[in-house]
Amino acid sequence: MIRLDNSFHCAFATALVLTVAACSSGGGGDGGGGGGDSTSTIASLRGVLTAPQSTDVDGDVNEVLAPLLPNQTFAAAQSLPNPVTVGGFLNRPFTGAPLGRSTTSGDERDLYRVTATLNQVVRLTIADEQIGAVTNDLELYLLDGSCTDADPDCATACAKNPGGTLVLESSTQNGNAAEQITVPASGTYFVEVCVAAGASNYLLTLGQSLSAAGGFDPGADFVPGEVIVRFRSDTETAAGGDRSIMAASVGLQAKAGGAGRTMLLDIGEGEQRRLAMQTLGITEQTLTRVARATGAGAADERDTLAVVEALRARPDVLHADPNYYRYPLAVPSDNSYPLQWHYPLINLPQAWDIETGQTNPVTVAVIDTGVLLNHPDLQGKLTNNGYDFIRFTSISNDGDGIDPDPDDPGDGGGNVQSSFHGTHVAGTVGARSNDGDAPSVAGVTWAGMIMPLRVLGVGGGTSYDIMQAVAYAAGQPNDAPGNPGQDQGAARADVINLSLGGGGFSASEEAAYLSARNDRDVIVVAAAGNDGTSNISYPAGYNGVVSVSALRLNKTLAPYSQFGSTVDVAAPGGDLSQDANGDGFGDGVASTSGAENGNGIDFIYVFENGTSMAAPHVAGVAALMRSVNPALTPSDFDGHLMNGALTEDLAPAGRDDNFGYGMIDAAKAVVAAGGVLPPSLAANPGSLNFGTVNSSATLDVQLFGNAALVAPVSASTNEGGAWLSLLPPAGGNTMPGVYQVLVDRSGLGEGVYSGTITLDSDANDISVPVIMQVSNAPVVGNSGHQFVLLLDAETLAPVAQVDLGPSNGQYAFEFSDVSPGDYVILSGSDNDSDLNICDAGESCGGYPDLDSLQTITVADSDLVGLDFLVSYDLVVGNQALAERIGREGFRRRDTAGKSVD
Amino acid sequence: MLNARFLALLAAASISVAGCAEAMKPAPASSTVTPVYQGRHCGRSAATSQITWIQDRAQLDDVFQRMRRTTIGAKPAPRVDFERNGLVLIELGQRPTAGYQMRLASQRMVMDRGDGLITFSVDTPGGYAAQVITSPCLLVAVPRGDYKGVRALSTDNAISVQTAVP
Repeated sequence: MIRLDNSFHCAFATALVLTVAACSSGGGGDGGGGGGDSTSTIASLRGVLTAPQSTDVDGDVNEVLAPLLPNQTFAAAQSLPNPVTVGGFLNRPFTGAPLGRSTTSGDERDLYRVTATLNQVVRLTIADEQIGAVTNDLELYLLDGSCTDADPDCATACAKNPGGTLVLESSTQNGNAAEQITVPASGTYFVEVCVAAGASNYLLTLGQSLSAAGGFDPGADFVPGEVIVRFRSDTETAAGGDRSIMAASVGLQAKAGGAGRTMLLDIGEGEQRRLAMQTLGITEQTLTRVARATGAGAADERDTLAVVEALRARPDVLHADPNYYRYPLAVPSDNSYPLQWHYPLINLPQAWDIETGQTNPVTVAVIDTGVLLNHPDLQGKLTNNGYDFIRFTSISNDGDGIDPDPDDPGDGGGNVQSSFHGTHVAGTVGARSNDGDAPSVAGVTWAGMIMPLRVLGVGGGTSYDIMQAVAYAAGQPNDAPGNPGQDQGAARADVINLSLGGGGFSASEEAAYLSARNDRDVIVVAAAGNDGTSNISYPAGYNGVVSVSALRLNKTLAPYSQFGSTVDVAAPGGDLSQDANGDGFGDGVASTSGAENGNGIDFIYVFENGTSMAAPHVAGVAALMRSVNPALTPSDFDGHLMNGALTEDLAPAGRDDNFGYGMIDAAKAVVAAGGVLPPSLAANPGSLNFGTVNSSATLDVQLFGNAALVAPVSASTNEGGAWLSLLPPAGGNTMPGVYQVLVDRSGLGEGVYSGTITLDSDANDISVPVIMQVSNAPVVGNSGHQFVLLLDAETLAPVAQVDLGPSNGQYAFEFSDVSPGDYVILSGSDNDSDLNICDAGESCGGYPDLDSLQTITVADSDLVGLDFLVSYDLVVGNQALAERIGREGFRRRDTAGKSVD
Repeated sequence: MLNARFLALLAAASISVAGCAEAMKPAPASSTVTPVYQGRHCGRSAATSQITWIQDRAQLDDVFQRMRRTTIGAKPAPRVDFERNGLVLIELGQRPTAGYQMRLASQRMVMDRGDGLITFSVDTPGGYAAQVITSPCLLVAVPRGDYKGVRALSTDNAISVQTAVP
């Protein structure tokens, strides 16, 4: 906590118990009882669940209590709004949960009817792609809107008769948890999801392309006239592997590449280009549409994008893309860097463009279990004045007390394996970076040094030893013989990282941290703690210490992370229970580590998760800032932090107890320290969706460096008409700032409309796609048949359950006859009918929201207003939450509804 | 996490446990429990304790698959003589810091009403601890016998988990 007033705070946590105001009595109906004082009066609990407008559910899920609306034929295809997220289920006969509706018969295809616009993306997430050794596989197809059940050209591979000419796009990868199709042109389509193996929940989304993948990024530069193509293997075989023949088959010329890999093709000029367009079926209307959709101004650019679009639609082409220019961005060459998702998340590549720690020498003290001094990825990165401050030989595990050897002998003791925690933390702060192909990871600061200080051994460490290490790092008097840390000038540290914690406030300890900060200008960073509560962990809770909470890959608070009034900033801590980026590893933080092998220690790389992993991201960024500006003080750091100059603010706006002032943003931080970003233009959000109701939104336009807008910010519509407009900030539409984006649906017929907001600067250009829907009937959400569970807050045992379907997008529930006590409420669907709600691919919600469940205290009065949202989690269901509160919390009754498991 | 240290110990155990008992002989009143691995990162993300009987290569591969998700470049699971032995994985469940460790309390598995009983102890953090999420576990090998299940009991009786032996 960086607050610096003199009022020492109470060190005790406030339990997150919400006592809901009592309201008038009433109620009755289905209910439970138990979980509280059974001798007291009983009460009712009531609330309303709401399904987001853009959610829907497969009409024939496996759950027998859900309404049955078969969607297995084109005639019975289920109509969907746009955009939408649909939760569904498919299975082969005799697969899936034993009690399901389609367990015996199978439910092998779901058909949906959609109206979509050019470059929208249909994405299928296979929730149960891998269950133990069993692989389940679903496939995704986009079919022409004219398809009928009798038309053989509408048969997909799932119907055992592939190759129908009206099957426009397909995504049928094996072993992939996600399939994706880009809509080739605006129109009405059928989307087919079918099962290739096993049984699985799924999420189907139709939305805008948020990246260049699949569509085009009109703001990106590419080489006019060149396209990158990979032909399917059978095409390559038919051409005898001759690249010229392959290129000629699509009317183009081969420039580079060949069979078995990507090729660079030229679209030619003059008559040659005309013939290419003819071969690919590109008409003048096509070119006009592409120009309007992509904003391509020059004919060369327009023609190139039209060729790419036409190639993507061909069955003999695996993929086709423009030949984008790529500009240098400081990305390290370490071979495991692609697994370090946590660095791009905080804009480190942009920061590294400015500062990699090379400008001024900076030292970060890692006060921890010590460091494996011989780890190859830390060579040259460790100061030679590290120290071991563990006094008790019972925990030091190296046979002695305080000594100048900070090597980590392990903290396992006996046969128990060691954590080598300090090595992992040190690697995040500053592993050797950009050092080529050898097994390696990158650190936040490439050139900054690490001072290894050992305070944690077998079973942990003591506050006294930690205080000595802090003093040593700050160059203050300490217990090291001869006080080698005292007044050592350059030998002292500029930043201290403490990825450790414990309970119990200590005034003397806080004074030590404040002294290091105030008297020696050391920025002190600490992990907020891993209890997943608002309990205060120390040293993170002390004044003058920057307390860091942990984020998952999707920028939500990690379920284990501490939160509360002392949290100052958030950083990636990871969540090993998820693999949202599909890299095959849990979404932890990748860094250096060790493994005892019986004869010594192997130097390895592992993923770990915890606020321990979040803190060194912030410490490393502080080191980059100090490299930019050695005069930067802890007060400067705190001031920038409180002004929002170091962070990306995560909702809610301003400081909050989950994220403090937001997620650390390395690019903003080095700029705040005095670094100069290269000129660039940015717009947030990257796309806008107005749905069927919303008519205004904001677009934040930012210029970095000395970039300037060179044309007015403008809005255009892809289908024509003037339904999209802008209200610029003060200064007009050539200025950065917050633009109001307005939609006017008057006079428009039912359908989906798309447009583009175009921003041109002298540094780069940006196009922000906009989508909007007009519907005469109100579009309401449907999160599927809900099972609402009342859980005992202490044991998390289910106490009562109600199940119900939606009415106009809402579900009104009531628990009656509830005994006094403390409870929590969860709700979710069970599409696969495995008797667990909230599985991946199923909707889920909790009161008041899943990320901050609150205890409901029932006294002797009814409680109303227990309303919350039930929605799909596009990452991985709510697996992490399930793990946090225990799987029992998600077990529902069977359909007989007589007992609770 | 299944990493090099795990693999080395597992490989060693696969050798040492071979020949501990003849396959499918009736279990004696007690039998030797051979530690295979005692670690902090075993991949379990639930907070509850769990015991798993690993009786064949496929099951070991499943466990391996879960554990290796945290290690870059993990090696494949070693061979184990499942004709003679079974593996018992006892997991404490996810814990918030590195201060938790499991230790085998006795190297004997005693018979208790037809089940094999394994005892273990749990170290808990005393002072300051590294703020990394851990999932401690014990992996032990036991000779096959005619016991119908295996129970693992902590020395403070706080944790008791049981699994059937097919």
